[in-house]
Amino acid sequence: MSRYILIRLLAACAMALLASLVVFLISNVVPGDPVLAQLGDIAASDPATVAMWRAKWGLDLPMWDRYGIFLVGLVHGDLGISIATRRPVLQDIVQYAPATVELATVAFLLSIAIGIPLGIAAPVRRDGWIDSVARAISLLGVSAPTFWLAFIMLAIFYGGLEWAPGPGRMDPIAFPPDGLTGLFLVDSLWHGDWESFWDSAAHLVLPSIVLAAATVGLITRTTRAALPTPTCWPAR
Amino acid sequence: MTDLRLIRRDLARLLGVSTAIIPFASVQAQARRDTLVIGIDISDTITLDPVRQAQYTPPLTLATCYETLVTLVPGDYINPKPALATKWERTPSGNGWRFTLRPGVKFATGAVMTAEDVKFSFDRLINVHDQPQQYISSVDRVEIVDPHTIDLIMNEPKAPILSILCCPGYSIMEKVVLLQHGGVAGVEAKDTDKATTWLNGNSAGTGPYHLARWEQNSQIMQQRNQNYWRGQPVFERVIIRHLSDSAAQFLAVRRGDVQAAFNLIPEQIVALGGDANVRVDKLPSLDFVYMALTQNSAANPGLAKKEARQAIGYAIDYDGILGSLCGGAATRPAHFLPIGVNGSSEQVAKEVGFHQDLDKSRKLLQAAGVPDGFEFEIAYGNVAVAGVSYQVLAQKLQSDLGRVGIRAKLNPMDQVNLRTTYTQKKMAGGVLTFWNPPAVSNDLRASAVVQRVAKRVGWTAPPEMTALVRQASEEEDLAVAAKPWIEWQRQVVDQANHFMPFQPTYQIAVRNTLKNFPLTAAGWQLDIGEITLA
Repeated sequence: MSRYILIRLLAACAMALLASLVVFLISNVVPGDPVLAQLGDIAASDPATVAMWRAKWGLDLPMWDRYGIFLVGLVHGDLGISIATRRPVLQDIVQYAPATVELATVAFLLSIAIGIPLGIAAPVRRDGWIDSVARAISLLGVSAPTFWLAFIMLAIFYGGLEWAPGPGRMDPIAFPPDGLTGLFLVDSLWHGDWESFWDSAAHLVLPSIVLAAATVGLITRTTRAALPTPTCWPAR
Repeated sequence: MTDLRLIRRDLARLLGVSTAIIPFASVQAQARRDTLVIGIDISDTITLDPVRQAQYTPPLTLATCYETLVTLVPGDYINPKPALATKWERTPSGNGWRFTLRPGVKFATGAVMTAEDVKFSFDRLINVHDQPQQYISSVDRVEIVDPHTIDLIMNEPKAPILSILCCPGYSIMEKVVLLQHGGVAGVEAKDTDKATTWLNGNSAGTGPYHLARWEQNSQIMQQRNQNYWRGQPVFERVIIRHLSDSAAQFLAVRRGDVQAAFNLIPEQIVALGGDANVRVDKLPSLDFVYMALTQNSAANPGLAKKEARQAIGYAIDYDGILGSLCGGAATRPAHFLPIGVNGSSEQVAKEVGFHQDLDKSRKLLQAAGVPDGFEFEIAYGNVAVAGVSYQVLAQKLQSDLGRVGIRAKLNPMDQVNLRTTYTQKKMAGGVLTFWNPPAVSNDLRASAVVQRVAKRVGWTAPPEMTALVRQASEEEDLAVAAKPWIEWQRQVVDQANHFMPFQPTYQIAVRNTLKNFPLTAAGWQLDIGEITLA
């Protein structure tokens, strides 16, 4: 068993290395020049300034040297400086990850909470209204692109009915709750800050429904398929 | 029963159904009155350090937190007005400008602004040597005359500088605060200045609001400056909210979550016509969209002849672009001097610029030796400017040019690739792009045309033209300067390396809760400190 785990771990490392190599190669063969993209108009027209920034970011080194530097930095937890934000990449990830984790968690729980009961109920009432609803949700969730569904939901529930709050994690005028995790629900609960809790929870409703819609269909279908055939169930 | 009611109420809160019943609603309502929220795409903001910024939207924030020696008021982009300086004149020796500082101006910390702060600000700007410094490379140093007077000593005393100094990049910052946070003003500043990190979350200026928080790609929050020298600003807080999607901005301004939306497309502007709570404020910008055309024969032999390029200029349906594509919310300059600056007006554009004349275009093609036309490429980014996508504009140009036999091949590309292609002089034909210089300065625009932009299109400007730009730039009598500027436009239009489809008008959706909403084309879009409530 331990040998199996070891082999799988080594394979995972090899895959990760290969993936990083592919991403690195792609970023190097695209025609756009990252230095020119970031400099102002005058600076971008001055070869000396361009050369200085190229050297500063290590872009004057051979590609394999740069890949080596990237790997060494990666091992040491240094992902470098983002040329888009001029901040350490790790700092950007730390800033944005909590919002992603929070939304993904809520969306996942929502998809489980809807998908499994629907998947169980559908075969029990085969071809009944629950089954039809389950099929419809599955079809909509799987076939509707997330970006499209997001805008439709926003237009209806935010712009039209005015039931839901708009984009963002909280109301623009609200202050984010203090806390270490960056997860607004957790941080606001921790401090007993109910105002922030309801505000951030309300802002999670629409995006989590949109994200859950894509997986509810899958979970419903999988659960439905995993259950015994309807003939095993007691007759109605 | 009580429990059931609680569950229903909590459920309603969770769904955001009834924000009105939330107990803290009245507190929120008060906070809303005290807070200005602006919806705008600020994804290009990568720093809020004035001396290092080179992007499009940061000046909106910087002009709120900081002030400059002189400024430009909406509608007059030619004559600088007093700001932190009350008076300016040539130095007695004529080697620069002498500024008399406004007495009693305080920074947000409460400290009084002195000549030391002005000198420190310019020394740091010059020695950090980032983009803003490159626009005032004619400034050599700052000398303190007395605590309320400074001299800006120039290495090119006649170089035009006053209108450039109005730009937020040349803000006056509090020396003591910057020193506390790693600011360096000496010659070593380029490598040792560390104040930018702090300035990305705070500010050290005299403006009506001070920076309190910046969450990248989320929002910028500013607080009222209690020590503002013009009196108490209207709002307790100003929030510049990043909304990259125009549809989200549209919904937010209609709903009242933002009081102004900056990036609406023409269809959304029309749709707001029926909303009694929202108006559309308009202001002609000084930005412009242009098509640069190479004359490098290796790239395209057809474009090497001036007559062939001029034929393109006379084949374009400019009125159609302004009317149909821009919905009338645009104008068109003759060249790189937009309508509204010295020497450029709609009348001048009419007299000097290209206009559609298909017969003339065909004759020019014959003169160029290509009576049946020729093929060339138009490259452009997959984005939109002022609500008009480059794709649609390129298709319109393609259609117009086809009427005289010129075949335009469209090449959409990523913005980074486009910039690389253009800057590295790798254009195969034309490039459609946009320019908004950081300061209102004819010299900056014209110098760009005869220097770096000329190189990109494979053209070497004749010395007489460079001398003409210099003559116009150095002329202090603006009425006199207008004549060489018009003559310069006539010459570069004749050269036919650049074509000007349109100069957009800002169309900002503003809720009627705001009364005075002073838009400006000077580079920072809006004087936030001058906004008043209805």
